[in-house]
Amino acid sequence: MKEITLNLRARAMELLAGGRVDLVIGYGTGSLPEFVRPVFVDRPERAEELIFNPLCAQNLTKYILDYRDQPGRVAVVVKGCDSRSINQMMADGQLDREKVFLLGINCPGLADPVLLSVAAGRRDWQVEAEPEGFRLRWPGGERLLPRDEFLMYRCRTCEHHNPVVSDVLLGDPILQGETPDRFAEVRRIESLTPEERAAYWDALFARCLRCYACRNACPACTCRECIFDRPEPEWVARVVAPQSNLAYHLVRAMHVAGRCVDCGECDRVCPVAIPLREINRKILKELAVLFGAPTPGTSHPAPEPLATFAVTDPEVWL
Amino acid sequence: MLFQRLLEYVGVAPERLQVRWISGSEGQKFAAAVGELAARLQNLKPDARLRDEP
Amino acid sequence: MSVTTPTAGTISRPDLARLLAGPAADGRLVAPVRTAPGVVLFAPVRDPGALTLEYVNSTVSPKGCLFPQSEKILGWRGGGPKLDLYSPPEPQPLVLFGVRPCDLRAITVLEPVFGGGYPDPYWRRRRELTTVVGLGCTEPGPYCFCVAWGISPVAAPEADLMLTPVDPGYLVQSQSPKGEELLRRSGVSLQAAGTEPAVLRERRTAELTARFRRLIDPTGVEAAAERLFDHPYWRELARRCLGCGICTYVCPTCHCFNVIDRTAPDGSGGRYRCWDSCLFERFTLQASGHNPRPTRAERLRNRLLHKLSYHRSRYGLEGCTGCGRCVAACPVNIDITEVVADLKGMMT
Repeated sequence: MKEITLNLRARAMELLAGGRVDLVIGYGTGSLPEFVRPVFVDRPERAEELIFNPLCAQNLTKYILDYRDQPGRVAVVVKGCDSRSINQMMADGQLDREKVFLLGINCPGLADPVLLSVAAGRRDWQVEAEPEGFRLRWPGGERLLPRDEFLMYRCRTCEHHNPVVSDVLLGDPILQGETPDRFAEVRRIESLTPEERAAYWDALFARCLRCYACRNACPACTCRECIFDRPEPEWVARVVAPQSNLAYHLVRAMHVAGRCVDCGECDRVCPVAIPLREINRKILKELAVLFGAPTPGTSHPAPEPLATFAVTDPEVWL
Repeated sequence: MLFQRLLEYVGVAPERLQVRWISGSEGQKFAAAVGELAARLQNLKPDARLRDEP
Repeated sequence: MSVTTPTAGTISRPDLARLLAGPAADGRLVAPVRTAPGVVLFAPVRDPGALTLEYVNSTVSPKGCLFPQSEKILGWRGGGPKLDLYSPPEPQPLVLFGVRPCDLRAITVLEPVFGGGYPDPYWRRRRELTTVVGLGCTEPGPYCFCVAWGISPVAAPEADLMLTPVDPGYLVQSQSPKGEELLRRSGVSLQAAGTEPAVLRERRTAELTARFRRLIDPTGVEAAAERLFDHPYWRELARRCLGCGICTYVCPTCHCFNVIDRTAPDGSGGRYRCWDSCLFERFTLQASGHNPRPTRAERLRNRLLHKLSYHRSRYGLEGCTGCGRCVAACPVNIDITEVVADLKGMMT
């Protein structure tokens, strides 16, 4: 990843100095070693701020929406999962491909900060990728952690180590291999009894704060006016209660159905660790089963099962 | 269909959702469909999660 | 807070379980519970064994006990020609256990908002009915900075009963009649304290202060913030802000709320008071359609200035208590301590 960082900085400096883009959206170091943050590099001298390390999980494509209506071009750093969002944004008519320069990252997988904190027994650590795994360092200690055991949850079922769309690739291509079953947990939940399923989800949604971080982080949530912001009519009660919390998550899942690219951001940003991916993955599984659809954003153009009609579509209810 | 499966997944009885294609001029068909759903609902246990918030 | 004859002494670990057993059995205990890896939340606890003592602080502040996320403040029954109003049932008396000094201070910070010139009866009632058991810290968290605001991590006067861990048990000080009552009811008797509580407090505060990972000096930040109101810094900072409500919802001093009326088809309904966030897009949207805080830059600036300046100028109390939750929870690493340093740095 150190090499990727160097390539990234060089390329960003080149793009900005040459006037090919006005802004580079990438990752930078956070206020403490265990954090990274989005950075918005608008001058070649600032290209040094760009990094790529095992904490660079955020899907930065969401920020494109802030700049696409302004003149000029922006460059965005995208991993494989993030790049699916680019394709999907184009399919949704949300993005003109000319507007973005994609700095593609071949990503071997990121580290789960919660697991790292458990390994170190504290939160003030820093982590680097090494060929054999994640090198974790903290005051007074260090460990080399086996990659497989400390990957972020979403990375364990990575479908695209290499971006599916990009203008330049900043690392070495990574062999994709077979993806473990992304729907294993969905199947586990499906195998419970209805009462158990209800209890499982009720317990999780009971702690939902309705902070809307999941919606705000999601690159598929592009509505200018979100249904949940509209007070009249109040489609879903803004009161926090089991009924409205359930309704919020089900409605949002349906609104992004067919457009969710399984980037895992909703899950990652939740402050109370609700595994929201298992809702979106249920829909992704049904789309795969019912329509044979690959993960949205895998290619562009792509078949859009929920936006098109074929005579062969399953018709269960009529 | 997708929504029905999602409802089932979170432990809501899928029979609670009925989707029918009925024209405004097919009044009888509409009445029959609603009656059928109402009858089906009678046999289900109440689901507090689908009620209004207290 | 008025203090009656202060009682101080020590109790053992098993005594603590006995202290909480009664409230737990009555379904009146709210305490920290480890809900998921990395997540500790204040929740009702029926079995004292289910609560956790292995935490620096909870993920979400306990302010929801006195100021619930959603609170029904009025109800009406439907169907008739007249509106049949009713008040919701009285809140339950609760024992809120495990509140750290930063969150205890937050109670004082919120008092002038809810108990000031325009008293909030809902807050008031819950405050009266809740026995707050404070728990002093034994180590600073990675994002804590309470001492920067002059708050001691060891003890605080807002607790009805203040516990300070002194291995292998706890130093207990009752600081109010409610605290006395809780002690008396539990039948737990206090042993003589080894050290004078005030001495212990001072020593441990000094010890802990030295171990904070980073501390800010907020002197001058209020003036800096005022001078830099129109600075492009806010726009730059807000570029990465997602506009979610995480920081406001985990914060022990954020208190903005919405009042929402809901009516069911049969005419029954209720009026609810719910948390709102100044980061939300429509927070200041007016009926005319004008929004004086139209972008994330204005909204983010507002929240930070509220914490660092406005609360103090309005109420004479610091708006932030240094609990560090917003730093831990923000998905894009907007760090209030860094903002303080930035603002002061821009003034030199």
